[in-house]
Amino acid sequence: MTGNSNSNGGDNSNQNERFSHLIETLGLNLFQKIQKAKILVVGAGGIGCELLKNLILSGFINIEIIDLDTIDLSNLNRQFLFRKHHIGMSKSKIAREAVLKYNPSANIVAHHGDIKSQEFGPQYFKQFDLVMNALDNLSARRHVNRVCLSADVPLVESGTAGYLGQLTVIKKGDTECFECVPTEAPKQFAVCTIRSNPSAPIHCIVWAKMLFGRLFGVADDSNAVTDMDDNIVEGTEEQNNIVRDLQLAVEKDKGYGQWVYHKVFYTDIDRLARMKEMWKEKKPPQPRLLADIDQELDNNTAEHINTAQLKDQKVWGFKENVRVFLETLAQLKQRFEKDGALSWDKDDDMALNFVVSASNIRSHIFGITTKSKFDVKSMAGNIIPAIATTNAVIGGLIVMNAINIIDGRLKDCKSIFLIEQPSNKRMLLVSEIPKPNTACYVCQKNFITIKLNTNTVKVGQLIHDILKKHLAFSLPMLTVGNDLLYESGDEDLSKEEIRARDALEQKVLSSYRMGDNVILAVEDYLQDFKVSILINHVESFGTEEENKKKEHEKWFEIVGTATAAAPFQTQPIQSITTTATAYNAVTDIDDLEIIEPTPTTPTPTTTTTTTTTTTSGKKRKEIESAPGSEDSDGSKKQKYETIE
Amino acid sequence: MTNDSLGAKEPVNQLTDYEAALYDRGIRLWGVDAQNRLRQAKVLFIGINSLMSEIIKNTVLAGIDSITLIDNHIVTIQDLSCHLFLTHDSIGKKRADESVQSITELNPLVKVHVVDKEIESIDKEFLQAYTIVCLNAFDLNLVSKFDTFCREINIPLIATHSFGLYGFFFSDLSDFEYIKKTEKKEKDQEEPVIEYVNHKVSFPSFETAMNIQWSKTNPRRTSPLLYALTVLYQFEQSTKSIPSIENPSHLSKILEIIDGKLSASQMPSSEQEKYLHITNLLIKHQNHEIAPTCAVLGGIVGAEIIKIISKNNHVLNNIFFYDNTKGTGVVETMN
Ligand SMILES: [Zn+2]
Repeated sequence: MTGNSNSNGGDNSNQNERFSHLIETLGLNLFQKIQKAKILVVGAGGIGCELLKNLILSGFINIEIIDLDTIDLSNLNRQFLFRKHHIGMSKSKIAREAVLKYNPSANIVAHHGDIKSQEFGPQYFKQFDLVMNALDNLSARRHVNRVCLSADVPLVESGTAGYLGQLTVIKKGDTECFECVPTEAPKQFAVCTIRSNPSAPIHCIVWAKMLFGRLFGVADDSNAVTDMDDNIVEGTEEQNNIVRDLQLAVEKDKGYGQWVYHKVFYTDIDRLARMKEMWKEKKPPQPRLLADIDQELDNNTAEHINTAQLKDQKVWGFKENVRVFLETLAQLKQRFEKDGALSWDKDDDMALNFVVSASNIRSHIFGITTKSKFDVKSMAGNIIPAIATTNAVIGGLIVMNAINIIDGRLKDCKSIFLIEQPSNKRMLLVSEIPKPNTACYVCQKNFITIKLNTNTVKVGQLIHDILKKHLAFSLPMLTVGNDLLYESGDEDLSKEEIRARDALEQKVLSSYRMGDNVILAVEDYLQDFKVSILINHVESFGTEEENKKKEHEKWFEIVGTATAAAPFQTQPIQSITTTATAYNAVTDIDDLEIIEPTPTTPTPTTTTTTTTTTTSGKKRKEIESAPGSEDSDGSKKQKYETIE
Repeated sequence: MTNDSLGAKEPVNQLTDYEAALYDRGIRLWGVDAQNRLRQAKVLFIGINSLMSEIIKNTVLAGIDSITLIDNHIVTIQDLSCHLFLTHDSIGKKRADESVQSITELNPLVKVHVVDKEIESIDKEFLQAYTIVCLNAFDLNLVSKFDTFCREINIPLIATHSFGLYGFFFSDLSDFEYIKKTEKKEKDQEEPVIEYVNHKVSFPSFETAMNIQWSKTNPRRTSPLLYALTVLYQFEQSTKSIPSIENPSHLSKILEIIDGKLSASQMPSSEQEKYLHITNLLIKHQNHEIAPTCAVLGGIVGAEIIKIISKNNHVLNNIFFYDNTKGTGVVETMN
């Protein structure tokens, strides 16, 4: 923590001279409120850098910054407080140092840490007059939303993507909360599409990332794309008609690279190709033997390109892909043996090369267009292009809303969208901030229903895949009645307790008091958030026929205003339905064996949803008077700007 | 436009691997061709106030070749305002000189030049060396003069200024051509169909835009800032001076201009108060630069300069007005 002991702006007359333009424009009274305000900025990245600069130059002097991230080369096109020699260093600390140059007497505290960690709970938030999110991921934003609701501190939410940007204000009871409107679910793919029947480059890229996890990560259900020792290509044991690929053992003896190549691009493909009913309407995939590759033509059909190209934008030929695949496979294997499990990272060149080559070989096999490294990086890394100008606009608008809040004029705060091209003359679409959604499980009702098979779903799946990934809990604690069933976090637990918990995670729900019609109380003390969850047992989703085809595509359903969590590549493959019948289940509550009444937050809350990926699909009520109606001079309703 | 006609010669990538990595996110948005065009762009900035410092930051980060600064103004403490490049040590020194070091640190790949020249002495031959000219529009007669130069030699001009909570930019690209890539995704197809469409846009001169008859506008659908700007233009043109809020004769002249425009357009004289109010606001705050306004307007202008240089995206035609009291930003097209 790096604080500045000088808490109040130093030489006042000098301060006021420096800020004379601001005082002339906003008035001395408001300027003094700005100087007294204590604010928290969560995130010192693209929007964060712009925002911090604007805050300091607008006279704010009491600021805390939290960011977990370190500086990367690809940040420097927009995160203008950082320099090349800062690469690898803490964003929050460098940002603090940089903006102190604009006002050396400001009192800025920088935290290099995770907003979801224990030190930043509701008690910490309560010291601030205002919190501003400058975050790029949904789960952290949902977390801050909940903590701000709990601490009753106004929050300015914002996001940008390319030329598009948006911001809004969330104030408990007065506005929507971040989770009142479900954000558009990230695109998801059925398991069978990824494992057996890809039809687009992205399917092969998702598969390649799963293969990476299977080979070099922690093998679990989320990356079960192949079973390395299974050589069955046709038939079942019951029917006694098994056909095996005996070559697999031969290849295994030749070495790791040959083995993996043969398994995923020959044995597995051969098995798929033999499933005749799958290939009635399209060409079956072609298994490729490594031994045959030298005889193949490197048919990299270079299309006519009339634009300049980067090195990474050239599409590799088949042989090049195989060469890179074998090379990175060997290198990654070495790293895995030395350092243990790896997690895939788009900025890890070796890991990226693996996914580029593996996905392209698979694309070749299935007759799908292959992609350049540049494009695969975007798709696999889910890169949202970010530029300085959009962040600058949003960073400026945030401060305008912040000043309104500090001045006690919440009613003057607006939701604003920046769009790429003017719509009806407007580049900035301004709308009133919606009221809270009365069905919101976060700020209003605190009740949802989860449908799943309680005899097959394990406690660990409920905790990690549903509560953490989909419902954005950070440290869920489960109770039924007065009994504590599950506790997250390692800090207060002994080794034995953690071991016992790991064992518990392997149990199915029904064997651990979480059967049909049980109401669970799920609490997160970090978020100071509690929700009651009704467990609804269902045998399966869809007909048996459908399930056979889709394998385990869908294994739970959340009924309520659940928002989708992470981008697709980190997500278990399934779908969430958000139905209109959101809280129908609640009406049956009295019939159930309820162990503990759920505390519902009595006060309504507020929020607005901001996604980094899209502005579509959101209802926005544009103010009709926007560009040029009678009161556009703007001076009458505002406290500042009076010319009489 | 310049002789660099669109798509005529085979495009070649000039970017180094380091540049490709540094500008990666921009390239993913606007493409390699645009990044190569940016890499060759030489941008002239005249009048380096706080708003201009925001615009410079945005264009320098995007990866242009070089910028040239002209501003011999001596820095005062008020000029620090929300300026990104000046510090207390800059006070008493020339504003352009004092900005160089910070800009260089921002992106060492971009060359920064200062030309020690009085703005009044700039001629059109001088302007010819630049891809685009960005001018501080405090003095509207000066904007007129530069616009005439730039139209004659076919160099794009952006003129911009902020007035406390308000601001605008004017753009004159005379006859501008660009190629916009569009991706159409058919329902059943995984891969989008890519099309390149040629566009041509004609821009009016500053004089034409400022002399617009109020009767040709719909006051209910037009930013009041536009009317105020035309009043300021007429004032400055007829008096050859900048209006001052403290000068009663200036204020009566302003009133006279508004009345004249209202009656010429057969608009009710009861509207006078409204236009007087907004015009006076601009006059009162003509020297006041605040951070949120400069950030928003500087972001919009920065994006516009990048689009003009890139020639692969729609451009705004031709005046943009920003109102920070409401967060509204509208484009008025004068034709
Ligand atoms: Zn809500």
